[in-house]
Amino acid sequence: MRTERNEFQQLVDHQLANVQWDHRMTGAVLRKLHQQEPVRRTPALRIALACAGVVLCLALVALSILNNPPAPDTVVATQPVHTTLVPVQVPDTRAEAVFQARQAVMEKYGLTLRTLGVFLDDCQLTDTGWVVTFETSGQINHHLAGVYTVEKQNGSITAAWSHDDVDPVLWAGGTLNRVAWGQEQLLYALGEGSSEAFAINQEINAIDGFTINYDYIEGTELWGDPLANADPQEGDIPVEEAIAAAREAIRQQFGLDPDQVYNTEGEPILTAAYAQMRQSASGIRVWLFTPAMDLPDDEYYVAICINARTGELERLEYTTLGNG
Amino acid sequence: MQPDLTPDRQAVLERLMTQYGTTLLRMCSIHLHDISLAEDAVQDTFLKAYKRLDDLRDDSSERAWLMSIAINTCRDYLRTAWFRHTDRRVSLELLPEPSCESIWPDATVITEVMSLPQKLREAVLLRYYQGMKLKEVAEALHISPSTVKQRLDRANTILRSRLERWYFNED
Repeated sequence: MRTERNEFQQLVDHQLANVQWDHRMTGAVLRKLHQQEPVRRTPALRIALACAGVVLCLALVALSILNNPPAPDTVVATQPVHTTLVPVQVPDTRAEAVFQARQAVMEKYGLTLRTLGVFLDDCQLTDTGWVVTFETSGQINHHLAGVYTVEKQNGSITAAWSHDDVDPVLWAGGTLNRVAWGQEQLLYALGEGSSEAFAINQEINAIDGFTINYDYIEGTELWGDPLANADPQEGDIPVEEAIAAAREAIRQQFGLDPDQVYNTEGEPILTAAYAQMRQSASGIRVWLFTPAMDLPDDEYYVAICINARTGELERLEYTTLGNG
Repeated sequence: MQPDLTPDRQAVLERLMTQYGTTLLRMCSIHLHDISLAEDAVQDTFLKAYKRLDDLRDDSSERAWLMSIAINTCRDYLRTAWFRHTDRRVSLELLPEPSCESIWPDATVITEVMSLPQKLREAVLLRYYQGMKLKEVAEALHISPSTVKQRLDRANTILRSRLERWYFNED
């Protein structure tokens, strides 16, 4: 059987259906753009730094010889030259730090590329090294999977897990009915136990009060049929217009200036990067915004639907963490 | 150098990310054999693209331009010491589970594409996954269309020998 191009596309898209570019990644790019983070230290730069170090060492040797010239009757070749070679400290890039951190977690806790793949990494470079944390999102509950923190200080790497204080008897082996999920539980959760893991995550999130009722926002009760992902079309209002309408909705609902409100990560709450297009089976098209607002009294999780044809507010729902 | 953060340019970047993010991520995942690393690579790709937005000519293929940056970014990643000293052969079990039961009789074709030599893999991914024309693939890889054709032929020869029934139709 010959494989046509579109069949290969379908095969890849099917096998990698869970690999999706999402707003988290968009946000990461925009943050890096604004923070002026170096994308990656190029090998050429590292080589240049290493060469500079070698030149420095050679200069030290030369200075040592100049400051201690050999006696005229001394054979230079037999004269020992005592000098100190200064090691060249080339800081790790973020990518290198994450690589090393992954390996440290895999070695210490037995995680594999597959199970570690469900964790999102966050890297902070420090003066003496770096700190990388791994935390899950999505179907694997982050409380159960815990947070892995790997720290490199002055060349020494240590790895820790937020469940280190839990007796291994309580999490090693067995099913998902455990207080913490290690390698075995994660592997099971990614395979035959995926439905069970998803249900557990939903249940815990519901208890936490973290989730707004997205089933309601995108479900049949509101629209008559579920909303599905859609692409912007001709005739839709521009996303900027939808953002303006969403801003006005925030103003009216909360009495706040959206420009003065930030999400829990300190970013503006309404940007094109976080706009999603949805369409119901009956053809209703909406721009959906789901900002999280960090207000003095509480954290608010908001869902705003702006009609993509008329620009009118269709729905605004919100929930809080209940900290207020 | 301070990047130009004007709203127009940022809007273009956001559109590129929306339009090409997922397909780039999947392509880089196969190319790099690592989904987390592919995320880094695609983020780097978009940052590079942003800085080179002025290079994007109206008459050039936006997709080919972006794919070219992505392929070069992946090459940088593949050149790192970490890659050279690590066994990057990845089986399907390391990929995320498909969203539902596979309808495909034999999904090992992806694994076999992953195991192709880098140059052949690049050509196959651009041609057969991204669906680019030979000319576009040639532009993205900075080689001639005939070289692209040669690489695809070689890839097909390898795949035919490894896969009983699957190979690409370049006719």
